[in-house]
Amino acid sequence: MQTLERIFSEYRHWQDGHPPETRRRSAAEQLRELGLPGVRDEQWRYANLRALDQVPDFAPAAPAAPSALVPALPEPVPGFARLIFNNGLAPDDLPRRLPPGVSVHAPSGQWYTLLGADERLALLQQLFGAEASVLRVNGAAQLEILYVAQGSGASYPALHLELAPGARLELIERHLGAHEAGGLICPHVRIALGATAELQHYRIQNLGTRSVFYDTLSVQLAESARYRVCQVALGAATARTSALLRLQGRAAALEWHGLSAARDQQVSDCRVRCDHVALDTASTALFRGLASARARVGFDGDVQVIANAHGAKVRQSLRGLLEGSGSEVNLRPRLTIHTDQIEATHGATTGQLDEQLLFYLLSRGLDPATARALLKSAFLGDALAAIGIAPLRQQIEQSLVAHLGDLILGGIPT
Amino acid sequence: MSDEPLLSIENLQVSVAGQPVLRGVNLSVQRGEVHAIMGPNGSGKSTLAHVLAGRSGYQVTGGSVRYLGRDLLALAPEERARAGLFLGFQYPVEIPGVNNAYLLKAALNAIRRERGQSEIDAFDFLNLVKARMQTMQIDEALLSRGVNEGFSGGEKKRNEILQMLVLEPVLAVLDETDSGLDIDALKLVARGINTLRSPERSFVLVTHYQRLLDHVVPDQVHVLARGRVLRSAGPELAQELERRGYDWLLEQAAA
Repeated sequence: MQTLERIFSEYRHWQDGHPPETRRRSAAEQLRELGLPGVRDEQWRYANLRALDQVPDFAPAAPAAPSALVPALPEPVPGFARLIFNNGLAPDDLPRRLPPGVSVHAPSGQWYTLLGADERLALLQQLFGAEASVLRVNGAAQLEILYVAQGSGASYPALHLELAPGARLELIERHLGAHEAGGLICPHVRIALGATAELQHYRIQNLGTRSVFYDTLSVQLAESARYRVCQVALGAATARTSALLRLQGRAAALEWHGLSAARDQQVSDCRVRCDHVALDTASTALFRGLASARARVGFDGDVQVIANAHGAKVRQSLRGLLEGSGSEVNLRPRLTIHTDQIEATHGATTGQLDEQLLFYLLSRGLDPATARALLKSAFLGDALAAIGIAPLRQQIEQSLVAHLGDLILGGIPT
Repeated sequence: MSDEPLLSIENLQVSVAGQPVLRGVNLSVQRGEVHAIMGPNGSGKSTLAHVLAGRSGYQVTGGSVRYLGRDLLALAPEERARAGLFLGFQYPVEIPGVNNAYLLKAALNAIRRERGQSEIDAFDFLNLVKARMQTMQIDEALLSRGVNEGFSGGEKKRNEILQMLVLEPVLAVLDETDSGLDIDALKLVARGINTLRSPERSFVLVTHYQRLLDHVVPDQVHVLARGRVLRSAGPELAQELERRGYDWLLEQAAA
């Protein structure tokens, strides 16, 4: 049976004869029309879509017992209110747990409008998942959301975030959990930044290495809004992020700092599509990808500047490090520019550790293992430097060391 | 103490990508001596320096090198460094993301462990480095930056000498450390070298020009050309080379 047919079959079974809600019916129609992505789709070229065929169960998992979650949770970050989404479901007492300046609202119909074919897997969230949690931010706030996936069954967290004009939010999202083999986590996060709003967004994916993670992020920025993302992808057997970022207001600005470290046979892929559609917008994408053993890492930075988006500034710096004879890093810096009033720089390099640098360190007496670890750490340092919250950075560094084993993060300049 | 030279190179032959570069180099350096190696471009000076430090990509096809009574060529680069051999690079690399202070401390501790000493504590290390930085007139802020990251050419060379001053090698091989330096920076580099001169420590200075030797007076000057040492003499040879160039030596060797 084809995967799409299996999805619909499981959906019907899960619905158990009940008439579907409008949003689910609409998602099913769109999914039927668009179909699932395939390797021939340019935007999905380096994603591991075979993992989707092997997902054991698309029906959503029941929440795990809270006691089972506690030991796996990281230390809270001081100052941040913490929410835990249990197998994709928001806490029952969500309003009570929110920090001042953040409130819950009912989803609007706009939530279900798709921006593009990149978001196709978000339709699975709409088909199987609960209603999105809609949070509105006024003033300034700090919020941490842990998405914990446990046991069998799929997990479909959904969040819709609206930042009022002038609002400021620091948001940490972490995906954690020890799923069963092939267990699917399919989150969809949608964000709208009002004029001059600022969002500092940390996205950390540190799932168990058997999970399958297909993540969709859609963001719109109004005039002079600032959006800064630090994304760290460490876990999951298969991970894919599809990000669609739209600089819609004049002088809107985006910074994307991405780090993917994959080992064994992990596949970690990220596509960031950024549309400059207003005057004087700016986007920066910095990506560092490390693939060891037989792992595969991909980053597709697809920037589109429309004809009237004069004064755009675009910068891309993509680097990959290969650590195993069977490892693979695919970097695609892509700029499509329809105006000549633009400043753009981009570069992409992939290779092994530089022998000249290695020799320099050896010539100072460092042993080869230390020298290699130091250079690997330095490679990742660019992306880590973007993490401005010291306790969070420390936690991420610890996770990196646990994941890769041979890093010396004390040698990174501060 | 044994009479064996600190460094003894005999009939060293080295090829790069199958092409012979060194065709039988002989050189003997006693403890406490400063030797200058001069020669025209492409004569093999830098090759010699890198082979001594153990860089890959050079095939030693003949001869031997003994250092402190050991077969130097059998040692890995890091073992040579821990045994007190220091290479000052002609083109010091930039290593963004590796902290200068971290590298210095890790290097110093690697050498101290080899000598059976305990690791230096953070306080003593900082005192030591700051004192050496003062000697080299290097801004302390550079300590927390990446190795040579964004340094000017002169700063990179001074940083090499700073590393040498901290690591206190037994034998320092400085590969054209004077190239590209203005006169003030040259004097600083010379001051660093002279600070470290002692009866127990030796230097091999690879240089194109005599001007460094105005400030660091060598015990012997060797002319390396066509892969061999064509002539060895006292410091007056450097002055003669400055006046006459290398052609007369090459002609004599060809005759």
